[in-house]
Amino acid sequence: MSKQNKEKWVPQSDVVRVVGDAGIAGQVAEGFTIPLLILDTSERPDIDEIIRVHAYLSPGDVMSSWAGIRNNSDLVALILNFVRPVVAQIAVCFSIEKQAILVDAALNARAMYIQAGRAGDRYIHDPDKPKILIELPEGDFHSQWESIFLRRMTDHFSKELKLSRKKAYPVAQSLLDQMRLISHFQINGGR
Amino acid sequence: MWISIVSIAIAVAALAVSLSQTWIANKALRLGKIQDARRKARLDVSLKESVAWVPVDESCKYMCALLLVVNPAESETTLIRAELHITYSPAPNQMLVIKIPHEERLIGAPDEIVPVAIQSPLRANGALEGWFVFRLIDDLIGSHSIKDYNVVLYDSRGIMQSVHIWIIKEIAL
Repeated sequence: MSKQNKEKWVPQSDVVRVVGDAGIAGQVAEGFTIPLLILDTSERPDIDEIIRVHAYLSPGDVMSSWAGIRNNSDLVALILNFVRPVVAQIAVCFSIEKQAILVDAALNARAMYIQAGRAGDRYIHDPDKPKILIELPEGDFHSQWESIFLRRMTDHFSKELKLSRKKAYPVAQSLLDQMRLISHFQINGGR
Repeated sequence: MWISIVSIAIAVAALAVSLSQTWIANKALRLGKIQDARRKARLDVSLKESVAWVPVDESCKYMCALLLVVNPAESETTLIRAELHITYSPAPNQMLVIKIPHEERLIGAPDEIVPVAIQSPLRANGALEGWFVFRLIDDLIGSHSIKDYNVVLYDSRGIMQSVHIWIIKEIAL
């Protein structure tokens, strides 16, 4: 999704399904809400390992990049390249219609938690379950996200509510404002 | 008759000059290639010894490699990172590489093992010999099967060089 419009192929096996999510606001990231993703690691024991070994070693390095998906305007993907302590790559896809709040919160906090799990797992089931915090430095996608969201949701409302694009746009803008009441929530002003 | 002899003599002399020019040109080419190789930045790393020990009352193991690091180039550099890469299998048909950082502080080490300081400068055409030390917490790999160990060094020119560690001598303290 960079300005250079670089294409990157990610193997299907690197795509990991999100089976649960939550938002955590605390003393990290200046008190902003950080999204937690519970990833289905049934096919990816390496993700279990990444999370497990973080308990024993100093913080690691991870490179992140956001991308659009060709021929699917509803999806954006976050590609995480773990460099150390464990080498691995994962890609997480988000539906703009259904999961935009996670993307918006992650971009706002510039961070995300990931936790291993299975379908049906919820954060509340075990808040102390090991998880890792991933820093997401600001890149080109941050400045493009709002227009990507508005374009997609304008299309969606235009189709679902049978409105013209001109009339659907304010609805999408209103949805963005409503969503940001939650995704940009900051606890105690970050102190 | 004399003309033929003189002609042959001139031809032989020309051949000799030509052969000597070829020899000089080949020598110059060889020297040029050596100089190019010297200018091209690289690191040569060789393993001299590797040992491991378990400190008393600690749930970990230290793995150490005595390495000779040579900078056979005409540019100076600095070792900026050293890691032990352990390839292991956390699940059937799956391999992972975990990177353990070099430790400069040791617990219960034999006196002769003094860890190399990171960052260590390496002069042009210089070398450094020292111990690279890695601490493996017992539960880090657990009972997973280990495929191999490699020590990987990184320098300030962006060069990465690894050496395979294969015979590790266990020592008792």
